[in-house]
Amino acid sequence: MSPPAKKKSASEGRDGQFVTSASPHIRHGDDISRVMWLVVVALLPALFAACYFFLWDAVRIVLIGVLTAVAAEAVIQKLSKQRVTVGDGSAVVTGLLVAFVMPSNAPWFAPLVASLFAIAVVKQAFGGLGCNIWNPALAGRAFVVACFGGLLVGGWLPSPAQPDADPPVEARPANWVAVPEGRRFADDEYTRADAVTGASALSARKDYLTAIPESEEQDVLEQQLGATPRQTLRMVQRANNTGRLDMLLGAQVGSVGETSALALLIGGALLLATKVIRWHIPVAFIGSVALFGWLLPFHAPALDGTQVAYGWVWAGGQPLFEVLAGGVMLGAIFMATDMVTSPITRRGQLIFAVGCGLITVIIRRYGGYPEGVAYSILLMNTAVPLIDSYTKPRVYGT
Amino acid sequence: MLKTFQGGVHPPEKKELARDQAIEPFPAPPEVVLYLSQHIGAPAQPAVDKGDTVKKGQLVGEAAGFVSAPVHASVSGTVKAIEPRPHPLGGDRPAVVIESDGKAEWAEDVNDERDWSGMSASDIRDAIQAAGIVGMGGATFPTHVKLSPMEGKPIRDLVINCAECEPYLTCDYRQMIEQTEEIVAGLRILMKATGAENGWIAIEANKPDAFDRFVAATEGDSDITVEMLEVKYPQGAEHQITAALLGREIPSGGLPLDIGVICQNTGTTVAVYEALRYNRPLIERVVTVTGEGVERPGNLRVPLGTPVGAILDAAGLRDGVNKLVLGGPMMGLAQYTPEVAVTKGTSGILALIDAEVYEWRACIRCGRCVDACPWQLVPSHLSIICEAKNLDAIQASDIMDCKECGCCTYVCPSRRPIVHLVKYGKGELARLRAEEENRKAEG
Repeated sequence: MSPPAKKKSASEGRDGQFVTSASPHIRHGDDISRVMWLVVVALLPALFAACYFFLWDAVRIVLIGVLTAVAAEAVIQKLSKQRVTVGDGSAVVTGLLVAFVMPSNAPWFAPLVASLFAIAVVKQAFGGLGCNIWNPALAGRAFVVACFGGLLVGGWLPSPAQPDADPPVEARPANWVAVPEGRRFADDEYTRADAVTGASALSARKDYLTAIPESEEQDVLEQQLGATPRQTLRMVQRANNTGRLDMLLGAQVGSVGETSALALLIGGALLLATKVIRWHIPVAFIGSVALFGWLLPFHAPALDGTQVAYGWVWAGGQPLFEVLAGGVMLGAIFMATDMVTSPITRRGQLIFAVGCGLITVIIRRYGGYPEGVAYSILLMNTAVPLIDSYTKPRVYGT
Repeated sequence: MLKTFQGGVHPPEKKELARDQAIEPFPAPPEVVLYLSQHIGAPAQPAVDKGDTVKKGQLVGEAAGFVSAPVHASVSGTVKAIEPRPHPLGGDRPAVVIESDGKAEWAEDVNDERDWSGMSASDIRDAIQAAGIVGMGGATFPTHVKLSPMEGKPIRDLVINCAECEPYLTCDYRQMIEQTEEIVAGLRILMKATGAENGWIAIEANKPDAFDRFVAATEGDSDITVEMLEVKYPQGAEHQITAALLGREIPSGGLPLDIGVICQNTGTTVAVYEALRYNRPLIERVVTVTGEGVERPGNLRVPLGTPVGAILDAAGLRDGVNKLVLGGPMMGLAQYTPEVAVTKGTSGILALIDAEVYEWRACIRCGRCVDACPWQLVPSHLSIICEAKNLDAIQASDIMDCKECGCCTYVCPSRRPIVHLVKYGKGELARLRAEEENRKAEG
């Protein structure tokens, strides 16, 4: 029998039992871990889509990307005697995003090097979570492209995009040009296969827009013989002719996690509903890609005698194509919204996102790369301190 | 659409703990600790000596100048000591300690009914000054100073702040319900004292019954408007209530006076009424004792100087209480000891169970603090420059516009103690400015 517990008087013996701190004494339930793991959950639909379209390639790339990112963060924090914070989910997010921007046929070391660079150089060397200037995943991808770009072109055209019947040669889209020998069931280049490699719709378009004599794009150029810039553009549009529904669902050539706009939109809706992100960046980014995609003319070539002459053609654009192709959805919903590397005020976020959209379209139309989402975000990341200093809200009473 | 302001947060209200508990008088404790500094401004000077016999309502501390306030005995008894005691603002501060004789005898010259309707504006202000009334919402700024006219700044609007936006607290609400008429009469007195043309009673929408009572009590009064405001913290801050109610912003570094407004707390208004109507100095106040760690939450009419521990003993403390806060959870002051006593600014006694001690991390620039800041500051930036002790940046910043409402810290997912860092930064800035003054004076 223990004696009845004696109730302590409030006014005695309580010294040292009360913790003190500056106000406030209550906090909202959200913390970094919840925010980061919610981002992971929001990436799951796109992960499922990736696994559906790219099968084991997706699994392989995602595993390498995530494990490398988490291991790199843990080892660096351990070595530099910091608290190991891999449990907060931020390294998992980086690893997932690195994997999502790799083509499905990327060699195993591409996601590894990209994740390592993202965590070690872009994130930890700049001071860890909250201190990096650039989006780690995108900087990791840019590094890998700079190192072994040749290995990262194209990608497997996922099998659901295969038409039932073989198209006639003259109607074949440009993204059918490179079917590798080893993947054919028969000698016929066009018998049905599980998958074919191919350029993405954006690469195909770029080929038409940049075709120059005596290059490897000779076959593209041949189609342009005697064509006016406007006719070239029509060819471009035919080359882009992946069905919009396929593009929405994800049956298009592209990086592992970027092809399914629908899956990414579902994730985005989750992030909006849980207030992890606000609408400003995704809406302004996607909206400005559509707007500038509609507004800006193409610089299309045509063969004039033996010379290639370029002409400006405004084609009324393809706003829906622009936002569904390439990495716009992934970039606008998950990359540009990275809190650390985007402006802190809502007005700044709108400017930042419109800048991303404009640069994306400019690179796609006039730049050397078929796709511009990654570089547009990295460039705008660099401008964030400037944007922040010009978009400080008006303080109450001033 | 209810009137409101930009920014702010919605913490759980937790008012249900004490909302329905009628105000009960708390018996005078054996000993009261009357700090000579219970207000902003110069501490009062002791007006009694050790060993003196004092009566309830007798002056024990004399105001030391205009921006100061007198202190009166809240019990009758003997002055046991005049010595420093643990103070809610931290450290020990001088207090008149009175041992109660349990008789509660009033002093002769106070506590009798009078008719204030014939008094002039300046007589009313003098009476308020003599009663030692200060802002009872927690700011404790002497009320007579606030009411004093300033050249070229006529008062148009007098606002009774019935928002009570701090979670947990219900002391104002209970007074709204139980002392509706007194509050309206207090508003009339304040309007007369300032010459204000418009009277306002501003209530957060979570108190519809109080709203109805005020509407009924002011029926036929064309110069008094009862207004419902959105439930959002800090709706009851002066800057936010003027913006929400009147659409006017108090200029940076200025006072409500600058835009022709005076705001008064609910409890203060009742104190003003009692001072004028019954010639009673401020010797007691309504305190909400609440929190998950309190067995019997309630609203108590407590003699000033009552040790917090005595109140907690009576209300019952649960196991696991590890934080004691005077005031509300957003702006209240955490106490290390229950020996501190109730002051004119103690609106609540809050006992919290398992209050977390947070490990904080770098800012991830999520921008939630920017959205939440009712002053449209960038708290993230302020916290970073204060953490880095970057004095140049602090000096160039708008840190002095921060009123430490705590919204930013409440929402921060990195758990950064932004208010703490801002307080530190302001301290450093004050030190720097004092050093500059000294250099100028010397050189």
